[in-house]
Amino acid sequence: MPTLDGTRAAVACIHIPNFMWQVESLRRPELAGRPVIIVGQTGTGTGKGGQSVLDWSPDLGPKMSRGMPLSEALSGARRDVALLEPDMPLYRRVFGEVLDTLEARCPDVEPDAESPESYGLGRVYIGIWGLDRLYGDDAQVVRALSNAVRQFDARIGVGENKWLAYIAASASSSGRGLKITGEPGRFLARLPVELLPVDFKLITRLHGFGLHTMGDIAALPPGAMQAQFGRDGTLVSDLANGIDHRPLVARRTEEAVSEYLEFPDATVSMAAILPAIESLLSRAYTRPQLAHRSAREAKLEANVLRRPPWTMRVAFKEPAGSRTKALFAIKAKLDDLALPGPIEDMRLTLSGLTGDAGRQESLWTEVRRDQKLQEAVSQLEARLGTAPPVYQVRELEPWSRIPERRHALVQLSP
Amino acid sequence: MVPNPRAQTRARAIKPLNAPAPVTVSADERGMPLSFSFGRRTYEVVATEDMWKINDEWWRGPEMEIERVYFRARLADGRPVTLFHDLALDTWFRQ
Repeated sequence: MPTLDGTRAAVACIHIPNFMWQVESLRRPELAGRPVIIVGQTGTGTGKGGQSVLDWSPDLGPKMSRGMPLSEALSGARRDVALLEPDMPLYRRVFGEVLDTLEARCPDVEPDAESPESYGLGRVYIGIWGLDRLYGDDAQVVRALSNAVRQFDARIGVGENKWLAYIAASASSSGRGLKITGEPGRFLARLPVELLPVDFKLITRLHGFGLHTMGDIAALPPGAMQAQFGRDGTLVSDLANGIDHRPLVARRTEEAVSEYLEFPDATVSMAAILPAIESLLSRAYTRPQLAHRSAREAKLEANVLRRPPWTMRVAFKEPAGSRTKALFAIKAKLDDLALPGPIEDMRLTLSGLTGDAGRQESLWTEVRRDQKLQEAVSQLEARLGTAPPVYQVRELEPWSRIPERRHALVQLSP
Repeated sequence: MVPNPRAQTRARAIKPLNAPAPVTVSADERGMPLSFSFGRRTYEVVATEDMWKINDEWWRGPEMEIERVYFRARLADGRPVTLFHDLALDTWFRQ
């Protein structure tokens, strides 16, 4: 991947293996030493209740794969394995904090877009070209990145493109960096196909064809792979040969304001939830980031008692510059919604912050207003069966010295 | 629930705004209002703040002529009120 100045690009990949499990184990230390599977509905799992494996503890071994049907995963796992419901809002929030920390060190940070909902969590690509003037050589850059994620068991790799950086990270040991230089073919040849960023079904098919390592795939002509596996075949063939044309696209930083509260008791009562939202909005709108500014979107997240977390997004029709406006829109959406169960806490995030408080108006406001008024009068007339006593003030002789001749009430006719 | 009276409204008519309402005024020897009665209540005038005269449409003859003396007065409770003495009819009005 050449850069604009003609030098070879260097991409670093920070890979936090089993990211969701690592977050869970930081939150619940009692899980230490216990085999854990985080179960989700995502992926292509068709086993027990359509549930599939989202993440797992490393002690379950390399046989586990994301998207694997839960029944298949359980058949090979220990009996004391704990099944956890995913807390996606938490994982995404922690991952966002990781991205923010990395961005403070290197400007070009791209979260893995393999599947923003779940799969991309825990994998970040960072453009590190040009940073040698700031940090020194690549080793210093890797050290700076490693310090940024030291609370996790992270692997760091550096390569010419994103794929090689990821492979280097996967092959490196905990807390250490690995850089792939020169011809990557020999390095890749012995790696298992499970590392390929493709669907679990395709991995199974590759094994079915006797393709267990990258070297097996690289030995085949690309045309044969494409003929058998279609577009995915071309991708797999390219990756097995160390070719990756995907550019590094730095994420767009979004400014947001977040507030959090816990309920004394889990509740489903709107009489308790609405004041809580109002309080969160009050706190959010007093933050300096929102001074004289408006928000375009609100996100509510809550942990639900004995249920998966609940999330609701409210896109404001017009940017909300005050607590009242935001509350009105949120309340309107909540009225049509049934909560999945008693909620224990609530986090409010206002995003899409804008300084533009303008609103779209009709060019012919007078005409529109009159039309609305005439419609209302017509409806009143139909209801009363006679001309409704609705008047408008009209000037008759505003110049007159006699007061009662200046203005009059005239019936408003549709 | 308020029942529908089924009465026809007279909405089509033009209603003048600020129409004069007749009142009974007791005035001093100079013609300045001291108090006035409107409905069942009597209001005491504590001050006359302004006074002016209108003489208009005299060309329409004595019956149609408008000749009024206006008083901007203040009541005991502080409210302002505008009264006029119609000289042609010799009647007082509140406006």
